[in-house]
This record gives sequence, structure tokens and C-alpha cells, in this order.
Amino acid sequence: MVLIGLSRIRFAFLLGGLLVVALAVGPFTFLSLYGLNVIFFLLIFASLAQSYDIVGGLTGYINLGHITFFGIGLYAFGIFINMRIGPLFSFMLGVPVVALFAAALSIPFLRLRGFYFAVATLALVGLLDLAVGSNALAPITGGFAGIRIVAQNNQFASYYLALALTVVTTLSVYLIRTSKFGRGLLSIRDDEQIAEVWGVNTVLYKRLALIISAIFAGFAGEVYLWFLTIVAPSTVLGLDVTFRPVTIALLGGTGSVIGPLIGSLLFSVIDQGLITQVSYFSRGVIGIIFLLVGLAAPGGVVGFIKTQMVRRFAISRQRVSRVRNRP
Amino acid sequence: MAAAPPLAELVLNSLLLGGIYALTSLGFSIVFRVVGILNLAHGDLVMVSGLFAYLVFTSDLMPFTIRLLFVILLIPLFAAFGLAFERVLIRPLLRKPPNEALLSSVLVTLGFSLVLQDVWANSFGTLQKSITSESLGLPIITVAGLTVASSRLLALLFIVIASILLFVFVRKSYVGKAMRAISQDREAAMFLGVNLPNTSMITFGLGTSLAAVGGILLVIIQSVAPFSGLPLTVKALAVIVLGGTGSMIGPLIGGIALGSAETLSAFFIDPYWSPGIAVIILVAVLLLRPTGLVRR
Amino acid sequence: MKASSKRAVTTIAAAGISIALLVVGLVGGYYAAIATTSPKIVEKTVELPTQTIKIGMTISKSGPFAPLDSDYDKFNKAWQDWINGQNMVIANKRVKFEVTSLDDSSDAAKAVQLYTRLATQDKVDILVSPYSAFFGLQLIPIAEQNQVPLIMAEASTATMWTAGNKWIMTSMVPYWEKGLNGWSATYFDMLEKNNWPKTIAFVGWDIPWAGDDHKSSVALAQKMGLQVIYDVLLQPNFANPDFTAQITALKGLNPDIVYLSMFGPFSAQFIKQANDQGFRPKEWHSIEFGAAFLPTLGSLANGVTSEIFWTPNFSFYQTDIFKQLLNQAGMDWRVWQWVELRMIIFQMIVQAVQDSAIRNPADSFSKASINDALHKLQMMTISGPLIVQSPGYGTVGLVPIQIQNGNIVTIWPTNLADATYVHP
Repeated sequence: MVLIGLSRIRFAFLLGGLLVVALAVGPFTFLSLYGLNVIFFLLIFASLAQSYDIVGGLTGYINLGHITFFGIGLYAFGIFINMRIGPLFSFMLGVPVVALFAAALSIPFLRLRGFYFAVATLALVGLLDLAVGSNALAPITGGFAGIRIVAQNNQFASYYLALALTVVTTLSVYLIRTSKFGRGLLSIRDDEQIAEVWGVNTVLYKRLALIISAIFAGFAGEVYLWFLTIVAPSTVLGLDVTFRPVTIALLGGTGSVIGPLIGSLLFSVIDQGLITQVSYFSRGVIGIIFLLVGLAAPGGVVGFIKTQMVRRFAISRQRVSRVRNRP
Repeated sequence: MAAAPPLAELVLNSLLLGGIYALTSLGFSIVFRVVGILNLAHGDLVMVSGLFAYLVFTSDLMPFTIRLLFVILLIPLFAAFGLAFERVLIRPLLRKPPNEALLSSVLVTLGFSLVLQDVWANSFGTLQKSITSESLGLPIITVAGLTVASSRLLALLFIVIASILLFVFVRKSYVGKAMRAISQDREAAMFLGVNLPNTSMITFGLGTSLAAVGGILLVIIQSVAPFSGLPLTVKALAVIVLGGTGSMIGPLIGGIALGSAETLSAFFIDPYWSPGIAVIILVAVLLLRPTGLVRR
Repeated sequence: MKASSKRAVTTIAAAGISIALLVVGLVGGYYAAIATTSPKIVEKTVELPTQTIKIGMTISKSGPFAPLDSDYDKFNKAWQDWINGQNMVIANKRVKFEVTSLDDSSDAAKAVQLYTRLATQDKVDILVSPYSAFFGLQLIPIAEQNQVPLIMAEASTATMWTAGNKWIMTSMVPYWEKGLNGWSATYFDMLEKNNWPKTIAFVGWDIPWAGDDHKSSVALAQKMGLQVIYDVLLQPNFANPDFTAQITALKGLNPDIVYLSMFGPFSAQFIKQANDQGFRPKEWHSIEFGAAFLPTLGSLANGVTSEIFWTPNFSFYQTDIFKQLLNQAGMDWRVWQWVELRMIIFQMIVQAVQDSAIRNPADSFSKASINDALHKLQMMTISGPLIVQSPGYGTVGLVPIQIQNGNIVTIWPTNLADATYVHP
């Protein structure tokens, strides 16, 4: 059992490493510009879902407003780069802005529990949309017409940044899970009061989790703007996009390291494949897949595979024992 | 016109808006409380009921009274649909631990809502559907200088009566008591012999029939469209959080609070920022009373 | 004498030769012109190489924008069938047109991916923007980087034309301008002549296009001396917006005209809700009356003024064909209000391909050449003359219309009007 577990992790690392290398050489070899675009958005949503899962999956706080961190990062980066301080400094300065925002937010919001936390964070998305689109902030945010940065061909650079971001986010989630911090978060998810009794500093842990998840999401926002060069507020702060990190994480399997990655892969493939082949009922097909995954697999696709493996393993062991017990 | 004091009318109209919010949230709220799942297709069910009401009302085949009868028949029809929906799509989730059931329900109901949207858009077109109250003979009433749409008044009256009836139902009847017991402590209720599957099925049917009523009135008051369901569900989330999920009259209180907050802030402060002000009020209420305005 | 007669002979010969050359040149030029410029039916015996011009776009078949443009797909198909039935020959090639329309689901990220696909993988020659200016803005970098001309359909806003973009253009006037070109310029012109209103109120949505129209119209109203007594921009709400507060405020102010700059279905909601609250100004003006506007309001729509780029009584160029295509597509111009812009775009494309063949015979069908031709267009459209200006925007403006007894009638300018403006 231990051996299998170990080899599985090694196998995952090996496979992941190969995948990253393939994606890294992709733009020079097999990947068209369209393919690069599709994978870029896949990576952005993968890192969004992955970073969402630090709070949603590990800590058990469903943050429906995760996209606000993405938006703050995006706008902070845009405003900095329009101040002509260069992309490098803009990327670097955007991160503390998002972290500070998350820290400030965590003080009131983390007092809320479960369902109430989810709805309060969801409400925040609308507030941010309102603020950046307003006439008052239009001189720096571009108002309803969206924020625009000096157009350069940043697509390749942003592709690699997105790839790096996804890798770093995934590794961080893995490291967090295996650390004392991660076990603390899991104990909060299982029972916050008991965790507190056992000496977990729940307030600090939750706050840290929120800040870490916000930093990754904010960075994703920065890369997103660098790639697109123009982003209108309602296209990132609308309802469809708001729910996406959550649905992708749920689809793949929330609370597992590779779940969000699988979720975004599945989502992108279905989405792009369907849209370009059949022009009708694409929404319906995605809906049916959500429905089936929701019914069949509590832990998303990853959970489904896991239960199947456990069942098969159990059956084979049963057989073995049956064979052994034969007189 | 001069006789109409705008302030009184504003307050009255914000109450009526609150009634609409409550109407579209009540079914969502009881399903969340008793069955323990989020029905993200609730808004879409409201929309579909509105669509059916629209199709019946605008058909020229039958006299008006028969059309009205058919529209009213939508309510038991939706209740039956709710029972079937629970049996097929929700029941399997309820065997899981509550937390997993809640998360799975998000996927299942969101998936169902996407299917519903696509089927509608491809069979009835994407345009908004709406009926004017004139065409149904619903008058605009003027009382003491205050002008009120009777459709809105009807919505508020209905929701107040429905909330009170539900309140009584939950206190007095056996099924109602079972619902209350489940919403307070699921395991203890099961231990005491409450029929959990049946109760949740009935609750679901009640929820969808309330969605049907919401749709019928919404198509008269505002409009219905294939892709407007999810925003309505999100609104319902805000309403039940504001009112608190602890009580049957929570949605009514939450709806009126949200309706008044939006309308009054748009009138007195700034129409652009009023959705934001509503958000700030929502968060402030939650921080002061982390389980909503109405306590258990 | 000899010398002079010799000179006379050479003179006559020279004259004869030059006349002959002139005749040959004229006749040759005439035939060459026929062969290269005007489309004509070619006998089946002549086998010409085929050149396919690919046009790519996305349409929102689902999501919040779907009620505004989901059926444009049908029009694209009708046009494609018709134009390919014309057997068009340009620069000795049989030209076919192929329109690809994908579904962006009202999702900007998806639109970006699909336009990249259209530009790089499907290698379309010309891109047409989706409905919303939100998306149109985000697609400009794709057109610029991949050097594919992008025609803005219903999407145009000031910032598109000030950034020095080289690959985008539109047929529409710069309607965000606060003077002659404003969205409702002709409407305010008409009001000035009629001179009945004293006060006006503005309610609009804070989005590109609607916000642009709102601001340009406030300026126009002030210029003609109307008193602007209410002016608010709202956060857009695509689901079920409620206007109780605005309506109550307007009721207290009682303006002569209420000018609504929102998408048609939501203007209709405003008017419907106002009616329910017992408020009816002397005139409603909505910047859009398409989509669900008329079905929502029924008789309440009577007297509402609005504007449009084309009505069936226009008779500039190919109006009959446009009507026939709408018929084939099963579309009502009163519901899919901006479909005329799609027709104008197709007219622009055909004209640009023809112009490109004349201007640049060596490389007629290249994207650069077509882009150049699109930027220099001077042509007639279903909505009148179009001259594309140097930043990329056009000259096609709007005419005011009024809904009278369920019909849409043109009320201004006098040479196009088919009914008289009804006002208090």
C-alpha cells in the first residue's frame, strides 16, 4: 500500500514534469497560435481553480468571490504599467496590493461561516465591477470601456508566465497539503471548533490561506491583462466567470491537488471542441456533464476515479482472500 | 400627479419590489433549509414557468377564463415536476454526507439549469417574454393619491399569505413539523423516525410550485428570458442570507430589506452606486448578525 | 512642297494611328473594365479559377447577449447563398464568399480564443465583430497582431479610433461625438424644428455604445436649449432590472421627454414599469427598439421615438435584395433591429474586394490590399452613401422613427420620411 502510494506520487510528478516540458516547447513545435490561446486560457482557469481550492477545498470555505482577487490583480497591474514603471515592477507591485486587499478583507469576512461567507464574497464581485466601471475611477481604470495597456506582443511571454504560475500554484497546494499548515486547514474544514480546541490558530490559518489563494489569483489576473492588453470589467467580473473557478474545481474534484487541473482540462476541451464543431446545445452538453459528474462522483472526476480504483482493489483483494480461504 | 407624495409612493413601491424578491426566493429558501441543498436551477424554473404562462396567456385559441385556469394549473404541474426532480436527481445526493451533498447539488442543479436554458433558447428563441398588466385586465390602482400596479400588489399579498401559511404549516402539521425537525438536526430527526426522503420530496415539490407562482407573476411584472435564471438565483441567495435561513418568514424580511435598500439608496444617494450600497448593507448586516436578520 | 506633303502624310498617319489606338484603348479598356470591375454572369464554357473570400465572426447564441443577436446566423447563411448564386467574377477569378459564424456564448475569453482561431487557423480574410463593444474592444489586438481586417458591426466606441489601429473600420458615424455626428443628431435636429419640448430627462446604462449615446445626446439637448432636468447612468443589469427609484424621481420632475439609452428589452422594461407606476411622459425616446421591445410593450409602445440606420422605404442600393434576404432568413427587421448593419458590412466587403482588384491588380485578394480598400471605401449602401474616414469610422448615420399604431414610420429628414411626427 505504502509502495503503491509512493510510486503513484512519483508517477504523478513524472507525468506532470513531462507535461510541463511538452507545454514549454509547444509554442516552438506543435502548438499553433490558436492552440496557444486555448492553452493559455486553460492555464489561467486552472491556476484560478487551483488557488480557489486552497480556501474552498482545503479549508472548506466556499469563496464565490474568488474572481475579485483576479480582478484586483488585473487592475493593479494595468494601473502600474500605465504609470510607465515597466512590466517587471508592475508584476511585482501588483502582488502586495492583492495580498493587502485579501488581508483587509479577511478581517470582517472570515468571521462569517459556510453559506454566509459564500454569499458575502459573491456580493463583493458586483461591488468591484461597479467600482472599476464607474465614472469616478474611469481616469485610471478606463471605466466601462475597460482597462487598456500599451499593446505589445506579449502573448508568448504571458503564456510562459501562465504555465509557471500553474506549476507554482499546484506545487504550493501540494506542499501546503503535506505540511502542518495544510493539516491545520483540513482540520478547520472538518470541524472548526474541534480544531481550535486542539490548538490550531484558526484565525491566523484561515487568513493565511485566503491571502495565499488571493496572491495566486491576483497574479493570474496580471498575466491575463498582459496577454489580452484590453479587458472590459464586465467580461471578468460577470456571473459566468465568477462561478467558473468553483465549478471547475468541483468538476475535477475539490480538495485534491490534480482535481482543478483535470477540471479545467475537461472544461476547455469540451467547450472549445463543441463550439467549433457544433454550434448549438453546447451549453446543454456542458450542463449534462456537470449533472452526471455531480450525480456519479461526489469528489468530481478525481473522486470518481479514486472510488473506482478502491472498488476494484477491494474486489481483487476479496478474490484473493476467497482463493486463499479455499479449503 | 401633484397629489402623489413621491416619498410615500417610493416606500410603498420598494415594499412591493421586496415582495417580488421574496416571491422568487421563498421556494429556494425552504429547499435549502430542509433538503440541505442549493437548487441553482430555481431561477430557471421561475423563468420556465413564466414562459409557459406567457405562451398560454398570449394564445388566442381559448377564452380568457380558460387560459387563466390553465395558467393556475401550472402550479400543481410544477409541484409534480418538483417531486420527480427530487426523486431522480436529488435523492441520490442525499445518501452522501451533508457537505458532499451540498457541493454535488451545485453541479447537478447548475448542470440542469444549463440544459434548461439551451432547450428553451433553441425551441422558443432567445428573446425576453413579457406581458403587460393591461392586456390581462390588471388595473393600475390609485388609492389616496398613491399609484400602485395591481400585479405588484398581488405579488406582495401572495407572498405575505404564503409565508404566513407556511409558518403555520410548519408549526401545526405533521409534515411541517418533520420539515422543521430535519432543518434543525437531520440525524436526530432520522433517529426519531422522521421519513427523510418523503419529507424532502414534498419540500422540493413545494419549492418548485412556489417557483411556478413566481414565474407567473414575474412575466407580468418584469420579464422572463432563457438566460436570466442564474442572476435571479443569485438574487435569491442574497435575499435569504439577508433575511436569515432560520425562519420561514426570513425571505420576506430579506426581500423587503433588499428591495428598500436598493430603491431608497438609488433615490436618495446615487442610482449608479445603489447596487453597491445594497452589497455594503448586506455585508454589514451579516457582520452584526452573522445569521441574518431573523434569528432561529 | 514635297517636304510639306510628306509632313502632311505623316501628320495624317499619326492622327490615324492615334485615333485607332484611342478606339482600341477605349474598347479594350471597356471590356477590361467589364471583366474586372462589375460582376457578371459568365457562360459555363469559361472555366475560371475560384477564389474564396472567408469571412469569420462569432455570434452570441447563448448568454445575456443572445436575445440581441442570436439570429444573425440565419442572415449570414441567406446572404452567403445569395452572393454565391451571383457567380461573381473579379480579376478573372470566380469569387465565392464563405461566412463562418461561431458561438461565443456571450463570454469574452471564449470570443478571444475563437477570433484567434478564425484569424490564424481558419485563415479568414475578413473578421466581423460580435454584437457587443465589450468584446469588440478586446478583439482589436487580435486583428492588429495577425493583420486581419476587422469590421466593427454594432460595436463602436471612442477609444477604438484614437489608438492608431490600422486594421479596424466600421460603417457607422462616430456617434459618441457631441456634435453633428451624435447618435441622435437627426432626432434633436427634428426637435429643434418642431420646438415643442422644454425639458428632457436622461437614464442610461454605463456601457460602451449606450453610455456614448447618452453623453452625446445630453450635449445635443443642451446645445438646442432643452433643459436637462435628470441625468443618470446606471450599472447594467441584464436580468431583471428594477427602475422604481428612477421612475419615482422622474414622476416628481415630470419631464417632457425621457431619453433611455439601454438595450431595447430593458428600455421596454423601464417604460412598462413606469406605466405600472402611473408615469407617462409626453414622449419616450429609446436608443433601440429591437429585440423584445415591441412584443413586451404592445400598445404601450405607441408614440415612442427611436432611431435606426435603415427602414424599408429607403431606396438607395440593394434594398430589395436586403428585404428578400430577410424574408429567406425568416427575420423581422423590427426585432433584429441592427441586421441592416450586417447587410452594410457585406456590401462593404464585396465593394472592397472589387476596389482591391482595381487598385492592386498584382495582389488583389491579400488581406493587406482588402484592408486598404476597406479604409478607402466610397460607396453606396442600403442606408445611403458611405465614405470611410481615416481613423476607420464611416458616415452612415441614423434616422428618427416613431412607433405609430404598432407600425414603425420614418419621421425625419423630410426627404426620407413617410409619416408625420406625432407630438403634443
